[in-house]
Amino acid sequence: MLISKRTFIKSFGALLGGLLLFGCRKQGEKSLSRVRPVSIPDIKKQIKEAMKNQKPLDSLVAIPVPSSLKAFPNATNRFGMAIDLDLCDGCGECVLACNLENNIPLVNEYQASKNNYMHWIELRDQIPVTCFHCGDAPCEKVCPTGAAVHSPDGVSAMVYARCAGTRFCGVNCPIKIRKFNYVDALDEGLQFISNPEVPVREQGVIEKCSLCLHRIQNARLKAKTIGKEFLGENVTTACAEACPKGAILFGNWLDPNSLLYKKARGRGVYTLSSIAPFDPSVVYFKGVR
Amino acid sequence: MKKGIFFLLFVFMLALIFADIFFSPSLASNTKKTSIPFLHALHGDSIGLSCEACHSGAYTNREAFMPSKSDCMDCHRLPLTESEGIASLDSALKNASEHPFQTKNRLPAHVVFHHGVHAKANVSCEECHSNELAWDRGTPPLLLMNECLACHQGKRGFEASATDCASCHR
Repeated sequence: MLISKRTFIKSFGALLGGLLLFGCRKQGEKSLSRVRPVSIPDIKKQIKEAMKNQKPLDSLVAIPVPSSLKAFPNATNRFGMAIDLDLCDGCGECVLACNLENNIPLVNEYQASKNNYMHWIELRDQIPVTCFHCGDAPCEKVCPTGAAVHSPDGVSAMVYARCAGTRFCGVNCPIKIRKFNYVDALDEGLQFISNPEVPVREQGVIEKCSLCLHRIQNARLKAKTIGKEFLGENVTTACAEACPKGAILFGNWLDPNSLLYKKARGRGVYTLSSIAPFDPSVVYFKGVR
Repeated sequence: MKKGIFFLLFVFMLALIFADIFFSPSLASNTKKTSIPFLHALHGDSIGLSCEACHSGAYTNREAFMPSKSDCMDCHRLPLTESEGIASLDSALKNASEHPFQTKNRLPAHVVFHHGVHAKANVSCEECHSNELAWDRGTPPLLLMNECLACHQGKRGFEASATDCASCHR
């Protein structure tokens, strides 16, 4: 015997402990050099696939025009969108614009076969469906880490750094529009980075429409630096910008000068029946009231 | 013999740790050491230049920006004082690249910080960048969210500001 059992176990334990500590060390930032280039035709292909197998849509019900949030009665802003169903023909341009604006990754073949795409806007029965930014959002109530929060501006925001990936919010969302990052898109070569303004979401994080929060933030910071009050002027979302029919409107439901507020006058305001009880900020326009 | 094995293991572990410290990409600082010896105190406190004189975005822009060599030369091509020029400084300026001061923004991608908004709210630069010697050395200290929050919650003499997540995080 060269060494006793006692010494062997001791030294082996010390070695294991040391290696464990070594493995736990903080590593440098992920390098982007490994990324296989994703091209825009790749993204278009997945959008086409998603549009071929569209999920069914709930029935539309009429609701009143969105007004102040219950949680923030004194706020001057409540940002939202309206999708004009009389103009929309379901072309899918908004989905592509959203993908490019928000660095939305592709999904792998397994997820694609299950019809789980990362697209923040989905077409269901030719109607664009995205997060409705409910004023009384059911997803925010079940988040155990406080990652899903409502801003006083009416945006149902995701703090990705806080998200632990329990997916409770995804389950509690009546329309299941929250998307989970099952794989590390950077590692798998599924990530297309086109907009440095938007952080890339990690594996194990839920993501969804942010109402182009980065655009709202940038515009607000600019306005405040000049010393102006910010009511959402000169901001629009990527999907609204891209819509060839001009069917998507972004604006401030509480600002009488906002285009959204003006256009809502006299129009029929609708939402999905499953969303109606939760005071959505994103609505559909259809016909006249 | 037993002690020898322990000692070997200990050395092995130390080697691993040191290898990690010396050969892994550094996290703490992405600021490149510049060839120009620079002291903030000599420019700011002693001759009263505002921060904006070199960091052109500090009061209006999201990023404060670093000065280029031509910004330095705007002043340094002239004899600035009655005494003779400092030979080492002159040669350092002469040999410097067009952009001698390079920093990588260490703000994580999911945080937005706008210098201009804070300047507008009368927050002085020193409120966050107090340790100017550390910046001169090229080892700027890390700011943590707690320090942002202390001001935003109104604990440091400033008016309380936005504390909802979506104001600063995206």
